[in-house]
Amino acid sequence: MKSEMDLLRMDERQRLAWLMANRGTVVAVGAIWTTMIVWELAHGRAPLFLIVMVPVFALLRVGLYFFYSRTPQGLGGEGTPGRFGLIVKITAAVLLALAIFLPLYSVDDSESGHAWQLAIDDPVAAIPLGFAFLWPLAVLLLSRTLSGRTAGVVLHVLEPLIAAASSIVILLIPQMIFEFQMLVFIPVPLPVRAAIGCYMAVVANGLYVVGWLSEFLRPRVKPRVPSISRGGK
Amino acid sequence: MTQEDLARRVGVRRQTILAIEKGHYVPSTLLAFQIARELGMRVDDLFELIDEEEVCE
Repeated sequence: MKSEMDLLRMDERQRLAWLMANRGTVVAVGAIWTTMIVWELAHGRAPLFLIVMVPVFALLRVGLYFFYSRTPQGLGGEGTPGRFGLIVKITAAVLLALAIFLPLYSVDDSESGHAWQLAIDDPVAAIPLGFAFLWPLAVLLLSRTLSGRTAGVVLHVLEPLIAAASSIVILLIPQMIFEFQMLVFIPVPLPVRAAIGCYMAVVANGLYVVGWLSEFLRPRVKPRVPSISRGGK
Repeated sequence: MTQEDLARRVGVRRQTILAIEKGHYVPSTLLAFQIARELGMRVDDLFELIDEEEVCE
């Protein structure tokens, strides 16, 4: 995977400084995140998304640590962990599928709507819902069978567009189910409020695109590592 | 050989060479060997291990 440090042609000292800056930024974001949770709780609101994402981020952090610790990747950018993109995409697919069982929307803060319930209640809505939540699993399975073929390449190029379409469908669910007139890209209107499943699904789609981008930006040529052992013992 | 020349030969920025000279940055083993090779010296002649107690003193 080509990192931003490779693109900026940083040397090892700059990479170290960049990583330290990343750590400082993460600490700052964590402090702000915690403050937001405390603020919401202090005002009698339950910031479910903010709270749920804390262990999700922690798991992601631990998972990435073990992934990178087992990958031959130096500060100089040696090694090409091509599996990274695939792992991110599989994680996104699992998160999106899990979102089916989480509350998508709540009406008047009382009645929650789950995707699986909505699909059972309205068979016509089951088709777009199935597409919106299960498309990564279908694409990952299809891409294995179509690997190397033209259709596989076309599918690969279309993946971010499908992710965008999935997010739009998820955001339009209130209009489909509750017949609300909602403009695209405008937050869900009252009294329908987005819930944890909706946020998680949209984030999972974004995560899938990150995995796709990392595959897309992966260098196709193996980097030339200077040999310092030439002529040695 | 200038700092700029050495930096170009080993593939780092001039500021990195400066930081190594001033002791603000400890280079990787790879970079240490590359610098030594470019200068025609041994790594031992360029870098030495100093105990923390000595640094504190």
